Amino acid sequence: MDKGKDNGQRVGKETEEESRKKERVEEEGAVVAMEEDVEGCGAEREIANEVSNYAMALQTELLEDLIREILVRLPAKPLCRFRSVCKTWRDMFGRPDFKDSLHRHKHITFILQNNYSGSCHEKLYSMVYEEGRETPGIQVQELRLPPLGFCRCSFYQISSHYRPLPRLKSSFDGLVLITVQHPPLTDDNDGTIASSAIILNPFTREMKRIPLKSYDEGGEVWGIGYDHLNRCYKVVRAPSHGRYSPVQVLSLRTNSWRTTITGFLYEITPRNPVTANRSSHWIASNRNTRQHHIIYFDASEEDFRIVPPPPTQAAKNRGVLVGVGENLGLCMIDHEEKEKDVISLWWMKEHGRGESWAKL
Amino acid sequence: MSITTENNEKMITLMSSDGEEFVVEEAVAAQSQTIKHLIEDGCSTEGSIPLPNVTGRVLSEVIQYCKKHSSSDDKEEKELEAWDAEFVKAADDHVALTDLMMAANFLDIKGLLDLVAQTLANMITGKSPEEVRRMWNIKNDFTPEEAEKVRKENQWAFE
Repeated sequence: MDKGKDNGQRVGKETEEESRKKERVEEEGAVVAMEEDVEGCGAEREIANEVSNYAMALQTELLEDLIREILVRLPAKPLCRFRSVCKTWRDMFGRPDFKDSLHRHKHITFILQNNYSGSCHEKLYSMVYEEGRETPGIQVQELRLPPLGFCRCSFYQISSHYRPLPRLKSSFDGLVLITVQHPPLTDDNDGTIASSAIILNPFTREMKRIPLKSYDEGGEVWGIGYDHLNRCYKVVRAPSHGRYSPVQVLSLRTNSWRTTITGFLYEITPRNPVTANRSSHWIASNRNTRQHHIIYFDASEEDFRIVPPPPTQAAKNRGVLVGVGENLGLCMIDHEEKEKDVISLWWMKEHGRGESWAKL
Repeated sequence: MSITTENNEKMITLMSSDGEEFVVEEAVAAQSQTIKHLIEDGCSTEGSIPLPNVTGRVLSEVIQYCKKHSSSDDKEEKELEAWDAEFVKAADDHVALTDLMMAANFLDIKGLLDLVAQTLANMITGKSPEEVRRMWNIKNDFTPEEAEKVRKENQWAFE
């Protein structure tokens, strides 16, 4: 009767409120009664008992796999609530294979709605494209952001006029990168604008602050990448709009910036990156040739790579990158026809392989 | 042992852990990748295929599912969805569903695994951690301090 003993110890150990204790004792009672019932039966029940013991053994072994299959299908709220179930469940959430399975089921887009009216919270929405066996659909969920005014917090709460405005710069694997620009304080007005950046997992509400000395809103783009070799996430900042600032990379493991490229050959279109193949993609123009390219950040090499363009004349014009499910898509306007513009959407079936572009 | 019916369908016999035998069309059984591989490897010629991890009660449910899904084509998707909904409803409680899910996992029937996992996910969505622990007999192994910490970190999810 190991089980009964175990339960008894548990009840003794924990200092929870009286009612919960009672509940557990009752539970224990139920187990004992059930076992007696089985013992009192004939051969048929013995077989059943053996089978159920077998099933129990299997259950322990398999349960974790199966539980994961169930949990990855849960919406964010119960998912976070169930971190309280036991240590195994809590730890499961942080493991890369769990994140990968979440990723497998869901393609998540985040939308950040700034609230200019001065109420306390910005609203973050997650849009999940569900490819389930039922009719595919979009599931939208509101996620409450933790307070972002961590810097000089009380000041902003008093004067809503000076509230910091968070901006969503990139999202990747269910993580969002948000920058916050704090307007100068009246008593501290030396002309500099304090800024902060955070990486947030809106589902688990884990938040990591990224050190930031200077920040050029509108003059730089931010992206996230996954370094497969070192198994860590990296944040990249690169110049856009006629700026010549160096490219900087931050590994979330060390949380410090490193300049990787000075005199960057490209000028990136100031738009948030599009994630495909677990990399951040942008349209960028070569500073020398003025040609447009699709580039992506290779987090393992800490460098940018070019994606071959779709095999069409229209690719010479600057298109707009879009995500087509997990794949990269490019929306282009073809000016070839004089009468009217033709808009076409191409998608890349196999990332990086030029021949795999197809017109939708 | 392979029997052929009038329709020229190849039949195979599946044997559950408690010795129950089920004669089914090969196409039905092959919905299970595990069984399909066993057949391909020639394991079915010597008589029935033993499935030591699946009881007769669960196996009969699995076969029901496979029969339905091998006879339907894509046009009947709506009808199939409705049938699936009824099917998991009939499984009744989380114990039966967990058994079914373990079988689907062992037999490698993706559609069934998805269906049951989603049903169980829907079932626990509104539950408290304590209720979930009771469902699967999970031991709460947090110390009071740890429990408080993890609860605090995820406070929003309890509101």
